[in-house]
Amino acid sequence: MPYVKKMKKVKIYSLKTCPNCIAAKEFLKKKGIPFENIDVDKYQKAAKEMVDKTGQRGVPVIDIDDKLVVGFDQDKLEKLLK
Amino acid sequence: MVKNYDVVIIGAGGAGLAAAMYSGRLNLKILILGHSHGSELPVGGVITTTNFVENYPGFIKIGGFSLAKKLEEHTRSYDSVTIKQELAESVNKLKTCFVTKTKKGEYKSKSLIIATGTKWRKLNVPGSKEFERKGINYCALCDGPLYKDKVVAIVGGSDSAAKEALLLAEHAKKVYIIYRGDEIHPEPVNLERIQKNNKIEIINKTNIVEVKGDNLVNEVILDKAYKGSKSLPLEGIFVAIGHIILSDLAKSLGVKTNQKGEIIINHATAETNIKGIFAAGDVTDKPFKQLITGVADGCTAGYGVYEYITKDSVMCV
Repeated sequence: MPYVKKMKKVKIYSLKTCPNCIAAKEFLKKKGIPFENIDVDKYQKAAKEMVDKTGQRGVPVIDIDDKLVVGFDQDKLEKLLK
Repeated sequence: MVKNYDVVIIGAGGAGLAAAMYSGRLNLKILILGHSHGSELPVGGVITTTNFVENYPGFIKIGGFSLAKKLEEHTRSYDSVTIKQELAESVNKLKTCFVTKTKKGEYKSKSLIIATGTKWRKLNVPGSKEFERKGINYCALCDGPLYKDKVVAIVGGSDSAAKEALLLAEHAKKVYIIYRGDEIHPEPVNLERIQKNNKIEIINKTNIVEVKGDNLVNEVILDKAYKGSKSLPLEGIFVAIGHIILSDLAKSLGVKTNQKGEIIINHATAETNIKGIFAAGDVTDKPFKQLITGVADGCTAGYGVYEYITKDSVMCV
């Protein structure tokens, strides 16, 4: 049976107007990484979920298999996506 | 392995991108290094945190992010220009050239353009470190929508602070402008917009002396009572109290700065006191700092390095 690499589950909590959120999504798209985008200004429940998970109120928050990256930290994302 | 360039440009905001575009058009081999010190993008700079720009000639109204992207696209259209998102940690001056080091590489160049810009001055009161990203913010465009139907304050009295207040009022229930001076001083059009907006309340001649909360901010303490109390309940604070000039790298090379830390340049050529080092944008001692004037500086510096390298036939030794 051929080896199939397990895809990481990636979620991004973001705002439409936030430049680092746009940059983080472009980064993931360029790498061909599928992700779930959650607009926290549309969904109060999601905003609360993000604050509860991270203890802070800033975006983007990128969740890679339950490992959290606050802000668009390209180096950290590269390491977690390997 | 050390890579060789005609010019290394430190800073990829408006001034840096314009310098790279201009000198790239003149067939110089350019490396431009961008890094973010806060909420702005490393390539594009602080204009990426401005909601709308209405004072860049040619565009009646354009998003700051979109305008930065146009500058970036133009710069990238020249094959001789390389853009990297790396922080220049040090620069050594050799006999006739410079070696710029980042965590990822070393880059040799015949000349330097310093376009490192500024970073936001932080609020410095008890609670301001603990509550950063927990209610204290520096960019209304980036974080404003998270304060939908909440009470927030913007600290500062400049045009930037006024624009942030107007943007916050689109989301928040109430916006206080807290300013230490006698009266806020935005552009007349923005002052008029604020006066017409009944969500915005101005508190002049007042400072925040403490930020308080549980896990997140829920209160600030003022240095004088407002409507009978020094305590002001709120959930978000946006800080717009000016900038710190990022000139430490320049100073390490012996580049002359003024009392504010701004790099002193010949405004006709963008040269500093050190041969081969030029500077552009908000890091310099220009009196009027806007994106358009920074971009103009960048073009001046781009042409300045071209003249320097070609006229003096500079070789790297």
